[in-house]
Amino acid sequence: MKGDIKFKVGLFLVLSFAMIIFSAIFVMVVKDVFTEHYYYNLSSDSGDGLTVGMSVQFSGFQVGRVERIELTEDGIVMIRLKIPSRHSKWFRKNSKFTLEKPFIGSPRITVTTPNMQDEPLSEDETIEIKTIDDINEVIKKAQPILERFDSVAQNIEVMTDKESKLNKAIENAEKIMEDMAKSDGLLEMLTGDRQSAQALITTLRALPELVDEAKNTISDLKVVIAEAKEQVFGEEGTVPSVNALLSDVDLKFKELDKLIENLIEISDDLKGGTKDIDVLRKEIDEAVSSASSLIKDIRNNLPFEQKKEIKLP
Amino acid sequence: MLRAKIEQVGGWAIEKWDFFKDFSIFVARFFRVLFSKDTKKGVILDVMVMQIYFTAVQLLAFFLMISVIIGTVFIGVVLSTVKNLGLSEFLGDIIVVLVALEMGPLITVLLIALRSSSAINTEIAVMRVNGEIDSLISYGIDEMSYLYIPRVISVTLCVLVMSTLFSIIALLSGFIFSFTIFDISAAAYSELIANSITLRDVGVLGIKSVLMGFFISIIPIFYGTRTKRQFNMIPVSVLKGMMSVFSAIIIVEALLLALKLI
Repeated sequence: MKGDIKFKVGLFLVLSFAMIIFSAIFVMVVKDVFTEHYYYNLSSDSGDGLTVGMSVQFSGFQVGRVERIELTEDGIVMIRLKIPSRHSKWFRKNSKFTLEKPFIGSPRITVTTPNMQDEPLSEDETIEIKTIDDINEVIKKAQPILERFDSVAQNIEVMTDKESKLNKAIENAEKIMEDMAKSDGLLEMLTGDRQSAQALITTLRALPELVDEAKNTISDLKVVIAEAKEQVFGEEGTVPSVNALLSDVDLKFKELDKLIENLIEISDDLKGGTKDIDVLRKEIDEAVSSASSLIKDIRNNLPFEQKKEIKLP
Repeated sequence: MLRAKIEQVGGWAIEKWDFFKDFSIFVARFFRVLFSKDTKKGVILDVMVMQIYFTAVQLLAFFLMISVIIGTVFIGVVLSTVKNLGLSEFLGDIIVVLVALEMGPLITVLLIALRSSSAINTEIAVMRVNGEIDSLISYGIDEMSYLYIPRVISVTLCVLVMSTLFSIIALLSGFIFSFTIFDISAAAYSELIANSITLRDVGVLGIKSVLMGFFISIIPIFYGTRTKRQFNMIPVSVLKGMMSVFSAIIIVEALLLALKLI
């Protein structure tokens, strides 16, 4: 049992340490600890924004880091870049180095190489670095706006000064308000003289009585309208009577319609009867003419027994 | 009335000072015995093996599962948040700092404290109440080298190893999440993480783990040795010991954070 525990503990420790060592080696390999490095030198007037370990980027990819920053006796800042050998191909004689200080994010050195066919950059050369400062750019852009704000603030200060026109206008407005607060003040201001103001006041004072009279007249008018309404639209009013009359007329019209329909039918029957009479008459005519021809024949043959001999010519 | 209150405060301060003094003496004795030539290393090793078995090996399956779950979910949340905020540039740094430096040691220490610190506190308190520690001393066996040192070393070692394991496993499981959800390649992810890890980070992780491991083992032992000789005082000893362990974890975290900021 104890041997089993010892084995498990040993296995745990061995595997754990192996995993930790493997991870450490992996990280070191990825961090190019075992890779050959190239070192390039840059110079700058200022070390502002530069830090050891700062990222060196080419086309947005990290290709190295800043290894050392030094201030020389001449006051120039020397920057030493540490670049893994596999990324050294991006560094050519015509390469340009820029220190970018973005508004958001950490500063970085960016390498741009216009011609990749150019000679490789020598480790002995020192190239001057340019600086793009987003923060300062923003400040520069904001400067005119700030100046405008400043002038607006000055204007406000002038406007709010004790001797300013605005203050005087406010003072005048206060005076007007005071005058208005006094009795007849506004009316006097509007009419221009005291008499007109008094006349207006008298009219205004009489106004409630006029209003009362108008109210009384309106209430009388309301009573008249109510009565008229009762007469016209009431139960025994004009409109219900006319409505009853109209419905009666409507009923009569309906009956009249029926009568006319009957008449039309009778007329039709009469028309048929007339046709029959016409046929009968023809038949009678035919009968009469037959009878007439028969009578003629009879006349021609009369007397039947009187002439037994026929005279020959 | 006021005098009584002041006396109460004074009494509390003296009690805490005495406790701190006793604890400091205990820790000093611990290191003296640890580096003493007379200490029998063989005995220490045997107890250490058992303690590592109880602290780490028995907990390992659960611990690995927790590492994978927390690593995956946590890194996933961090990835999506950082991406949404447009802070992808700092993705590696954020993951390394949060997972490897902060979460790894903290979760490991909490798990081990819950499991082993309470057990150690109870064990020592029971031995104290039963007079077993006195018996060892009467037989001429140094209880510090036989009982305390192996436990402290084992727990400290377990916290160190398991914190590192937690960080590695959490970062690996985070890769699975970032690969399946965000389509980040293995090369990009490993470069992102590796470039964010510095020697200083590894040092901070090590120091934090060792300090926390040391305190979550020595504090329960100290409380166990101070238990009054009554069985009903054992839970009280464990309760106080665990509260102090928790306070120690917070203090170490805060101190290291403050040091990092300075």
